Amino acid sequence: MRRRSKLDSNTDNEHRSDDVAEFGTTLFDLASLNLGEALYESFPDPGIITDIQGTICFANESAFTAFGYDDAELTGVHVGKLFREIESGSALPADKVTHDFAGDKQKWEIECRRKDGTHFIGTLTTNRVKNKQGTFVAQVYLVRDLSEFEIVQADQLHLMRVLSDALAFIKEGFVIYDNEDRLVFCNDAYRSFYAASAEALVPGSSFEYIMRHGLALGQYPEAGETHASWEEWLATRMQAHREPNGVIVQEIDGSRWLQIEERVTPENYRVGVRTEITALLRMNSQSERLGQILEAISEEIYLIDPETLEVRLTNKMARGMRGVKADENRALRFDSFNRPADGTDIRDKIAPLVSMAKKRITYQGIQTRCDGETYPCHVRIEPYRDYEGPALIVSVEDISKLHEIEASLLRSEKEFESLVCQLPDAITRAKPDTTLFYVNPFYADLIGKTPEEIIGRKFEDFIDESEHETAMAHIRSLTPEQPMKTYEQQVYMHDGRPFIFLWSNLMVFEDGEPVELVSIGRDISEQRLAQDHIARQSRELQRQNHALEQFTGIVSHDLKAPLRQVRSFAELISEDLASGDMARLPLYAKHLTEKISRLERLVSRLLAFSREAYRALDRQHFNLVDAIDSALANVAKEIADSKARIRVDASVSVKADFSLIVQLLQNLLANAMKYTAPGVLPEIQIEAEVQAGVCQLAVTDNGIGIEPSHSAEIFEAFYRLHHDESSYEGAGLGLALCKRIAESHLGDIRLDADYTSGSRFIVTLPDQEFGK
Amino acid sequence: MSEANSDKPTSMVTILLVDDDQSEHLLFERKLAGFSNPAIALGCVEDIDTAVRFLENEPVDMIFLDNRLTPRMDFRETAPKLRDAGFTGPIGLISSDITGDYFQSFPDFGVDFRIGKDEIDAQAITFIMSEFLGKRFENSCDDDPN
Repeated sequence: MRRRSKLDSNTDNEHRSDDVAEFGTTLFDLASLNLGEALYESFPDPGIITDIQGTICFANESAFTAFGYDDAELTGVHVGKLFREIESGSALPADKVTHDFAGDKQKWEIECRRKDGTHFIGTLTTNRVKNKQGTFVAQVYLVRDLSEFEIVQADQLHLMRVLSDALAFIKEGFVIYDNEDRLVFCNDAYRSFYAASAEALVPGSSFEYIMRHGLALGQYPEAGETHASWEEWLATRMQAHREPNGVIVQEIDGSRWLQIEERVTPENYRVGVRTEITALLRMNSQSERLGQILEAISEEIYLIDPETLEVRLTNKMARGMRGVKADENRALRFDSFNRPADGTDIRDKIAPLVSMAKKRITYQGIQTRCDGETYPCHVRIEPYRDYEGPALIVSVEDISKLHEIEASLLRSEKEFESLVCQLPDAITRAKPDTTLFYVNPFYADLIGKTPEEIIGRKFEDFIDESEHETAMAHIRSLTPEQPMKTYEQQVYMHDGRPFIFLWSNLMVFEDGEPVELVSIGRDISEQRLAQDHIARQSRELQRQNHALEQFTGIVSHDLKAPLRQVRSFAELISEDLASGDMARLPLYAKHLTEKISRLERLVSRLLAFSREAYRALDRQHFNLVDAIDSALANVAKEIADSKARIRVDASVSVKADFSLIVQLLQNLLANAMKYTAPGVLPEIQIEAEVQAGVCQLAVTDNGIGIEPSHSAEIFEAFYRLHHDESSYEGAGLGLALCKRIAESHLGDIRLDADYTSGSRFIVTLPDQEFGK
Repeated sequence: MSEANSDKPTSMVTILLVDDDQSEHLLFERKLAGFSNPAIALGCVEDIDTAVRFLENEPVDMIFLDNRLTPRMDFRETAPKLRDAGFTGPIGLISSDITGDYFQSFPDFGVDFRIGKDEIDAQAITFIMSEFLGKRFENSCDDDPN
């Protein structure tokens, strides 16, 4: 419906002209007004015509609708009432309107005020209307309501944000290039794929610029390393970008792979999607490698149908053993060349797999080669499902070599067992707590039990109580750093015979924990006896060397002195004879004679000593009384001269050198009779007993006795307590010889220092087997 | 035991021989018989206890001590006894054989020198007296007593 302004509410032109005049406007051209009405009455946007002061003369229907006024309310109103500045929000004053609208044509974005106080943003276009004379007579205001446009624009922005957010979440890279091939949008995933090109990924950058930027930073290894190869690669890529045709696979950064799909939109935009397929490629690669491995392994691999037992797939080894090619598998049935060694039907074997009762079965089988030969095998079958449905994976391992090795090992074990049985050593194997699980016959014989009686019991059960702690401490001391040690043990056979064993104990450790104790015991009794014998011989040699040194000392001193004196006296006699001085000749001659006599005695006694002291022993069993009788007979004259009384209580059997024992007794008897106080008749008692294998012989006299301080020295060669041979003749060799004889029998002789009524010499002779 | 001469001249030297073999006394006396200036008075004893008593009664200028004395004593026991008795003059260790290692330690036991018995003669004794008895006898010892 057309609304008329106050101006055209009347139908006559005069009246309308009056109205114009009422407004006080300058000359108004009705023709112009009518033209304006004609122009803007049906204009879809609000249109308003004012006079040059801004007073509204005309408003079209759209203006009434947009501003909420009717025609009467707008006519004569200043146009500034309808508009406000967007920035200040204040109404536009009339002078500002006229001033600001001073140009012929203006376009504003302005806030339009409705009657109800609300507003909307619009574009205000003003045009000045001039008459024929070019005089400014009216102003036309055209308003374009931007409210709908803003809503649409806001909706578009919102949609863009939603789209951007949504694309940010997806792991695929998304990109849009416009019709000029300039970047419009790309999501975060796209930026992360092409991280090296981040600087270039800004809206407006051309696709080619972005690609060259990435090339320069080495983002595309497949482009090569030369400029020429870059250009070639880029040309191909650009072509694919301009005219997408299928999927592109692209390597980036040397370790990642992208799948690229691009489309061209009707607007000639290019939309691209990047999907990372690195993991997929790796999986494919692994699957290929796994297939190659299965193909190459030395076991036969079959994929068979559980119902028909028809062979679907085989690996190289299986085909080789069957003599077929890959496309001939179907001609094989598994049960035609494989059967369980225990005679079971193979279908019964695989039944638990078919029923899903088991996940795997194994059995020992017999496999027939294509040439008819058979061989033992180990079969393992597991269920599988492929595109053809349920299947069974069968692996067949040729164990003929294993059988040979086992047979060889068994032979070696028997040989080892045979060897161990023949060894003269005790061999045991035990758990770390010494529980025995293997003993060889030698050890069993040592213990006096059968191996079956020993196995299962502990090592310490068969060790003498006195050795128990030592042996256990020894075993406990074995460590991973020092797993093997040896120790000697006194062992008694079951019949009581003593042996000395050298045990070598080896504790086997695994990961620092003891797992087995291996013990080897060797009888070293003979070796020990030999060592003892050598030690005795060594000691004997030392004694003899010492005696030799003594002898040398004696020769250099005890013999040298009288020789020098003989020479000196001979020289004096010669001098005196030469000078005619005879006064002292008898004295010198007397000394000369004495020295020569002493020399003779010394030499003869030394010879006797060395003859008796160092000769080899001739041990024999005899009653000690027999030796005493012989000694008494040898000194019968001295006994008679001294009127000595001798009492004997020595009827013991000894094992010794008879003549040396006689010599020993003879020397002790001679000493006992020699060293007596004047007027005292010698009384001598000889007693002997054997205890614990040791014979103890005592010779007691009532003589002058010996100071205890000399108890050791008196047994040294040429030691004499009494220098005056006129009283007690002797060379100091008698007791030295007694000591030598006792020691040669591994015994000794000592002076009983507690005996004070004379002298008592005690002789011990060990290693005597029989008692009194 | 031989006793020292009590009426000795002014330039007399008294030497004490300690040796358990009387033959050695006789031989030593003969070796010193030729000395007149200084005249030598020789005292001979057979054991260390007698030697100590001798020192208590007689002034002694020098002692010749046999290494081994009865019963079983050597210079390591006997020489200190002489020093303990207050003797401060030279002590010479004599023996038929002085090659034993333990002879090396004689200064530790108060012995001034050692000499083998077969080395002792007038010349050796003259040298020893000159060396150990000082200038008092230096001129007198110039002459060979034999």
